[in-house]
Amino acid sequence: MYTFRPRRLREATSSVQALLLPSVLLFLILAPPLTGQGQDGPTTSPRPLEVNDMFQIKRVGSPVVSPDGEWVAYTVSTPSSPSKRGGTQIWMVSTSGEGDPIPMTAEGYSASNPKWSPDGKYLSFMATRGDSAKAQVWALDRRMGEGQELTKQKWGINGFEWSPDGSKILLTIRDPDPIDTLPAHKKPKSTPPWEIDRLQFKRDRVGYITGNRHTHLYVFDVATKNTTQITSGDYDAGSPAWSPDGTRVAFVANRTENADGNANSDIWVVSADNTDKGASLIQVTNNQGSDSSPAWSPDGEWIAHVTSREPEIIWYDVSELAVAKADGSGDLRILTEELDRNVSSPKYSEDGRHIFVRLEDSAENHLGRVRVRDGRIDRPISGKLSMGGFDLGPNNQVYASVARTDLPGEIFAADDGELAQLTKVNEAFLKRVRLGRVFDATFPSADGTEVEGILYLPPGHQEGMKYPTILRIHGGPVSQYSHSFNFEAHLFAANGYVVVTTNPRGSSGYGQEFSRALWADWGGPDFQDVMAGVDYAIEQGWADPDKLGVGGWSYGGILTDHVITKTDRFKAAITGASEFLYVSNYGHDHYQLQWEKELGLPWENREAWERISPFNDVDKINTPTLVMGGEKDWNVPINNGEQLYQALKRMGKETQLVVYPGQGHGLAVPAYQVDRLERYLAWYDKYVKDLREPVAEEGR
Amino acid sequence: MRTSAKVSRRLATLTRSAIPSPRAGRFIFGGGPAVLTALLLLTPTLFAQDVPRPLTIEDQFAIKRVGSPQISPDGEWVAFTVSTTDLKKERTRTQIWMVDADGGDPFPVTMSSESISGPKWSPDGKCLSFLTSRGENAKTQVWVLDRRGGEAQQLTEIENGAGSYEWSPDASKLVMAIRDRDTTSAAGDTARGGRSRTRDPWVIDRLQFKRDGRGYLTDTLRTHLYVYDIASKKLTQITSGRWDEGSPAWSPDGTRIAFVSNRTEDPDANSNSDIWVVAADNTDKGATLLRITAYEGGDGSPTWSPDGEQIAYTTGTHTMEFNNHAVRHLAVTPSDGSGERRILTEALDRSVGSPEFTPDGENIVFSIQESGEGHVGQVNLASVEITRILDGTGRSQRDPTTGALTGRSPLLSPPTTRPGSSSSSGPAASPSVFPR
Repeated sequence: MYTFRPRRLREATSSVQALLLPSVLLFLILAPPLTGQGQDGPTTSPRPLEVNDMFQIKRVGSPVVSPDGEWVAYTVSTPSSPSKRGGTQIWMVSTSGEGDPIPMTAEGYSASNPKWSPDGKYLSFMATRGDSAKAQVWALDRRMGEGQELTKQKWGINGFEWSPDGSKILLTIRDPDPIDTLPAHKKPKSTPPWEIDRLQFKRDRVGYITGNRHTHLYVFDVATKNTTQITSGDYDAGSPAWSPDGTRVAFVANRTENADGNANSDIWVVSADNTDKGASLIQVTNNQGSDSSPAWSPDGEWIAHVTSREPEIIWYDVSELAVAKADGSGDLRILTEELDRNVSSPKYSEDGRHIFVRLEDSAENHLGRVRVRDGRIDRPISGKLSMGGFDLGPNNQVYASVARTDLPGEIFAADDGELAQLTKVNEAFLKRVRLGRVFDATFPSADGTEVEGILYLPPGHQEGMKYPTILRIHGGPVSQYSHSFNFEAHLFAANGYVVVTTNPRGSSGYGQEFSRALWADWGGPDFQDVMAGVDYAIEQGWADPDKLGVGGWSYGGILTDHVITKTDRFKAAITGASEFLYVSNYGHDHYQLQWEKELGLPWENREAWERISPFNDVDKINTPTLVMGGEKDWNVPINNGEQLYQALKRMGKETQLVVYPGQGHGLAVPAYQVDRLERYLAWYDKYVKDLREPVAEEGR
Repeated sequence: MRTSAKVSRRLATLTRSAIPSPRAGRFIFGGGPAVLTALLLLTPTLFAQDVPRPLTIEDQFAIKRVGSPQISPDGEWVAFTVSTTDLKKERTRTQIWMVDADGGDPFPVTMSSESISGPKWSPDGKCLSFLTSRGENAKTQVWVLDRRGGEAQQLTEIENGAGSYEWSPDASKLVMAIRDRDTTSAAGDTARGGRSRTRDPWVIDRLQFKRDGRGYLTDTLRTHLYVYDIASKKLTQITSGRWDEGSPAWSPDGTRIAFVSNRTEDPDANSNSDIWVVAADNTDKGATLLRITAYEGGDGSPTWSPDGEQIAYTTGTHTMEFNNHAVRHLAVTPSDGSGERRILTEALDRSVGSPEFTPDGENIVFSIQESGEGHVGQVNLASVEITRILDGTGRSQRDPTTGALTGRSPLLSPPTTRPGSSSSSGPAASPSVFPR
């Protein structure tokens, strides 16, 4: 059992991180995309952060090491701003750190998924360019020259993997929409009605799920350009991985009778050269929960994967690292039984003796190295940081994107516990702004449970001065605030606020029991935990107890709704995309499976549904509340926000409703991202700082 | 077509025999038979088939819908709308037709590819007006057909586009309801990162913040009344404020306009619309208003008596908790606000609508919702005696699919279109039962 490390107050020299958990299991916490373009002007004295700075911060990802270990390719994403369209480019940098990084793809289109051909002759990627307007595999000749289109799949691809000998490419392709297959003159003028027979019939940003479209695997022969379908049937195949000898492909599929009614995906193996569309499959795992992320051992005997063994507790279950015999004999070992922390993205070391994983722990994200023989774990990358993607080069050299609270993610090389920064995509921008101090703290909740938080002080904070303070609550509920660059928190701090972020009960990173404590009790223990964070900030002498605000999006909004029904301590609340009256979401949001597991069926177990619905205490709300959401959010639909607004308005309370046209659970339109942050600041300034109009400029 | 014309003439004769003959009564009666004739004429295909066959799904698009009957001031003609649906093109088009009030073959008078709405005769009978938008990205305007002949000419040039309108009695002006322009809506859709300007978020502070078919209701868009002077092309706003106004009606002398508006502290919290009167030539955007009704529920459909002394309107008698189920009554009240309302249909116990005075001012004609039928009744102001002008076999036609009464024949609007709050009282809300 990995024990929770008690923490004293200590100043974080670093920052927070982005969640990479499967979005289906989480209410998405869509942090504004990080970016940055902009010329590096002459150095002036640093200024506080501004709303539009969110478009200055670039995001790095997908590091992949060349087969010779000389280069790391990675993606750099520039966010779209109201005035300029962003995009993702592939860059590479020498692993020695010598020389400047080199842009590999041009601006003007987005490239993703960089992968080296096994012989190192090509750097390939996925992109949608030119007339075909479907995503294809493209390749850059390492000798020189621009990208060439390798595949010409009629309906485009969703993903690709090079075979070990480089002669073939595995393609993931989704069946086309039947309407797209009709000749132009037969296409209906109006969208046909959605005809629905499925249990899971809708998904945010996807829309109604109709018919029987599936995603299957195909093998593309690079020389002959022939494409052969290797899986088929009434299921989706994903996360394919070639066996080291190139004869087999492991993949993930939920092949149960009613896949909409469970999360029981398993690992399967199919022969790579089958010509019967995968009529014969080997089932490698048969766990009732989800099995995913297969990775082959170098000898081809074992498949490492991530497993969730308690599907009945849905997202509260901790995911573990397991290895299973690739021949389907059923041999299986759990390697992280004692760890009690989520692991993801397993990769075998070259010699097959270790498996590297991303490991989520106590507001941090580490690189874990698990010894296959006995499950012993060490951490080549750890500390107050957050590791995102990683790759292993020759001799198990590690390259990873790493972020801190004062540093948006950059590519680092890890060598014997030492991190060497290879990229500086945001360095120029960071030099221009002044960030406040960030503290990591633990504090006891009402029932004595230790809770961790990350607190942000305004730049230029003066000891002994009390500041207006905002409690911000993360989404999930199963996720964590981590040591990565939290733009929103830094922005509030730049506007003169102390910002309290906490990881209350329900959060991941603290073990299964800590997370599961929230089971069917949303707004219960986590309410106590977030209030303990506020009290901690007051005890430290940072927070003005008479100038408190609260807010969040998604689960952050949900818990905000609970907070304001339980206390009047806050002068202002901002609740975005929050569930408010659960029964009104049944069949309207996309969580039918999860609600049934956690609350039961609403017509059988109505009490559980009502017990966690803040709606039933709406008359206790006295806090001026700004309600927000996306017009087309099917994750946490806007009808909940409307109900909250309607009730508050009816009772004559201070409230406003802001709805973003066409938006789902996250705001995709840059102008809306700006608008949202400006409204956050205006609402808190008005009610927390008590700056009634005109809104004064203070401390900006 | 010969067959259908013959059939229709026969049916028209039958229809006429069931009700008083035109020009035979105490006052000129032109509406009923002509409207019915038109209704029957517009279903020729049903009669033209050689061998009758069972109905098919597509047949619903073969059925044309007629509506908005408008009798010319001289009583000779009836203009009406005909809506047709082209299933292949997935569009419905509405055009104006005309028919002799005594029967005969109707003929189309507008030929545009754009739909038209709100046909109205000018009070001097010189032209037939309607609303349409012609030309690229054109706003809706009032267009007119000269009775002497020729294609339609654009009458108004209103920047935000014209709304539902009424001719002033001397035909020199129009009063119209115009909704504030939504300056936030982009020309295109909410393109993500596209070229067109992104639509602003909806910022909502109202209690009633959404409505089917309209979307979110923000606090800033209101529908107000404007007077358009035809000669000078000048538009003058005659009402204003944080309320909506609708159902404008000119006083017979053209000096005043009655309208419906809910001007309570929070109109979203009740359905207390009232009838108000404003000077037609005010230049202070209706700073001075006269309220002439006091009922705490909805008052609507104002219409002036020929001498301008009284206003007839629909109202209720129930307390508010039964409001949604309340029967709509007909009442009259002095137009100067000097007296109490007088309810004329207390004993009828049926909802009424679309009141209009007879030219002599002695009776009020109105529609009645009656046991799955739509009748036309009239009440004598002196005796309070109610008689039915149209009922039984001569009843109005009902749309088989929606149950709505076709053509805004003199029957109630759906209860959801609360006057004053929705401005959706649409063009041609009041039927023209009598030539003026």
